[in-house]
Amino acid sequence: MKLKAIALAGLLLTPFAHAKNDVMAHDVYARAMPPSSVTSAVFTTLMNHGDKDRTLVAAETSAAGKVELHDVIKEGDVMKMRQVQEITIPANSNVVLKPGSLHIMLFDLEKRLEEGETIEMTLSFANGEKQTLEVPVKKVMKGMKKMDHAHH
Amino acid sequence: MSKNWSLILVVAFALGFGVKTYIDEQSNAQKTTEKEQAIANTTLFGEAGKAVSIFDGSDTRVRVVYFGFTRCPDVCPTSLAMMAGALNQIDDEQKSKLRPMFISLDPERDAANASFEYAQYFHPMIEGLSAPLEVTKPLAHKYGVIFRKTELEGSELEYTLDHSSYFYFLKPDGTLITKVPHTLTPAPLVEAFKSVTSAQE
Repeated sequence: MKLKAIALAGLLLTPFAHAKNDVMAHDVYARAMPPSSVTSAVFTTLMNHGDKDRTLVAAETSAAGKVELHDVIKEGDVMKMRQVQEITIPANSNVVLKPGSLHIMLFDLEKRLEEGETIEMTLSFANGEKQTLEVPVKKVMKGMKKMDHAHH
Repeated sequence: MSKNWSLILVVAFALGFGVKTYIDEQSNAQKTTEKEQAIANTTLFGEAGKAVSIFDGSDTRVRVVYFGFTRCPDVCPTSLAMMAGALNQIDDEQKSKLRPMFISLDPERDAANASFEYAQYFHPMIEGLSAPLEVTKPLAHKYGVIFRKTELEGSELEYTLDHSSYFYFLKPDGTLITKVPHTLTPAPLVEAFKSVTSAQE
């Protein structure tokens, strides 16, 4: 009887063990789009509280027809934006997606994203886990402010 | 006799060479002055397509110029956000000595008013300007701006413009005072704003 209860509890808890989110997205926001611009980007700090490296491989949102992972690299004086296949969040560490660096790029937007709106975004990880986030749309200086506080 | 001939030949050659060098230098100098003259007279277009003479000497403010394009996915909007952030951190007196501007290097897609609206979105002080490439290219080259089109295979972007990202601080006549490299915080701009406005009396 007792064994059965334990087995049952174990069975019930198993899905939770799998669903445990080792990766947490902090200070997430999407760039409010200036007039004429046709793209936006999502920025966040991804914290990995687990003991294994985790890898972000894709993201999607109904607000954009296409979503890509991108990085900005500086080669000499020239800034280059390039698509990357994945973004690794090392175990017990974090990766900052921010303007001028790694970011989630949004293309084919249904409409111009304006400050105050919220979009939903789903992140997909290499282990098959998916995570859905509510992403507020902010102007970059406002989105960055929260990060500044975290550093002081 | 043959010695004299040689001497005459040498002298003639030297004379000819000297004259040629002199003429070349003159025409080069003239070309340079023409170029400088053209830059001094640079006319771009801004709000509602209105012509703006950016090096008009009667305006004594320090020009703070950023070259970019409105379709720029990350680097330009980030830079203009930093410029706006920095402008919000200085006082009115310092602001009155600065003339920040955004100059589009993608006139095909950025009409004058589109550039204006784009710049205004970041800060009401930033003038947005555009002009045909034959006007903006020599200007950008003068300060060492790099812009090149790169095909991006497999990406939705298809192509992008790889470019350098500096804020150029210019005297009213276009002479470079200093330049601030691409930054992800407003701090270096705030510092430059303070130093150029305190130097300018």
